[in-house]
Amino acid sequence: MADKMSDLPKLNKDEKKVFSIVKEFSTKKSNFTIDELTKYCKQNTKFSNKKIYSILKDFINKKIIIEENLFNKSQILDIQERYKIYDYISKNPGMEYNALHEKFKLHPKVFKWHIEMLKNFGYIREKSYLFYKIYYHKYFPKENEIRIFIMRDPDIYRIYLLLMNQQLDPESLSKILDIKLSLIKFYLNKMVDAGIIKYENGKTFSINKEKQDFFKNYFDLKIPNNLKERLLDFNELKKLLYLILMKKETGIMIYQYNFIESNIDADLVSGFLTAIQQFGSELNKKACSISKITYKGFEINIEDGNWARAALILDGKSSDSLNKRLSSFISFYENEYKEHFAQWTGDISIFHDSKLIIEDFFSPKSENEKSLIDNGNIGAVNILKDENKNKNQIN
Amino acid sequence: MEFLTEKEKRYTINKSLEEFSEIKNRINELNVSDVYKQLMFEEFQRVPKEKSLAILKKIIEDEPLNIKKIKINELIRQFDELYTAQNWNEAIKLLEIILELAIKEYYEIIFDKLYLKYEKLKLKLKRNVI
Repeated sequence: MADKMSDLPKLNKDEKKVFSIVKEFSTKKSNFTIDELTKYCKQNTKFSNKKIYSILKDFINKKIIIEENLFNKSQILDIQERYKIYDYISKNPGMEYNALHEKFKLHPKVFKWHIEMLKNFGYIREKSYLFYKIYYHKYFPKENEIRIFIMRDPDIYRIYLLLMNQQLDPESLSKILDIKLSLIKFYLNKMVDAGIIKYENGKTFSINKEKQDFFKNYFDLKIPNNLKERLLDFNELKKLLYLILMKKETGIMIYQYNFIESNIDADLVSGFLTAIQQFGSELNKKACSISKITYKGFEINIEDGNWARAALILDGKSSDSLNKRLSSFISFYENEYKEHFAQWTGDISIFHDSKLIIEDFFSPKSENEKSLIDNGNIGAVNILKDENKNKNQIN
Repeated sequence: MEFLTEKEKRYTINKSLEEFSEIKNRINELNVSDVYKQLMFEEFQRVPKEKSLAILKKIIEDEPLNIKKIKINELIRQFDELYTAQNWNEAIKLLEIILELAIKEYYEIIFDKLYLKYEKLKLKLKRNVI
């Protein structure tokens, strides 16, 4: 198709002369009336007006000169797929180039063509930030450019939703979202710098309420159920102080996990609990177990397995959900250390990895994740976590 | 065509015959279907030449930045130079790029190592430190 475009019709000597003058004139003036052109040709040839008119008329017939089709900016949006890109950017400002390209799945050069046309004719605006190229509708407020781009990160969006519900510190966010602390801190730094959130008393963070209405225009700010459940669970788990694991029959402490910074004499507690259990059996004149001890505001919840006993010490009252989790934990734990328990010689170093199991069980979870644990399927919890993260991706 | 009586009608040289050849050649360089070439051709005929050429140059040469192509080691080397030269403002700007890249590309060890420097730099520059 392209070769035909450069085919100039065959011209005679006089026509060639006039054509060279027309070309020269067009470099000075991109559009002209026939009168102007005739006058210029007359000045530069010895031809009569009549002859010039005749040649120019022939040029028009042969489409060598054409009526000017003035470029109309609105025609830029006549191409349907380009209009869709424009419409999408207008409704979703702050999208970066690769994400947009991924969305429309066009040939890279075609996509670039649409973007460049929209940009060059003032329909959209481009901003460079870090290594990104980010796009906005022409009227999108400049002061919110970076802010909205940052909010498009799925992890940052989830942090925002949590902070909308409750002021939190980086450590808590790290636990609820299961994202490592350094990354949470990096995100929080970005959010503070962009004015999305604020420091409260130098420890916890809260959203910048002045910007909340702005974000409502572009994001669904309703916290998804799985995230809300994790937040509730986190608040429940804040009651946990210590978990002490001991050999059921002897009361020998095999592992102690501190949920808070301060320590406790676990040997003393395990000895005390064993004595209490024996005391209970003595009273009943048969083997029995005490499952709960309360003292002032504290509770000790006790769960026995076949070999091990777990004592969960809380500041406050336990819930059915926590009791269930303690029960699932002891079953899982015994199963993991089944062989060690059967032949245990008193070496507690073999229980060194208990920390990982405890942290996995007693980290914030959604209801779905909890039911998987109740059914003894802890491996599936990690798969579910990934699925939930993907669900929360922002398009 | 009664062109002598339509004095106000404005004409232009047909770019597709002469000066449009440069634009046409550039469109032909693109590895896109003929349908798109035709669409581009029709559009660029109506767009001022200089603007057409500038846009085509971008389409041909300015590939969208692909972060995978950025060599993180080279960026870290540049960052170390800025850090050694105590050019804190430039160093933190580059470090923010490296950290963002490390997140996108799952370079966890690099992220952990450099995040500590990021906090130090923020302290030096007396910015908010979380």
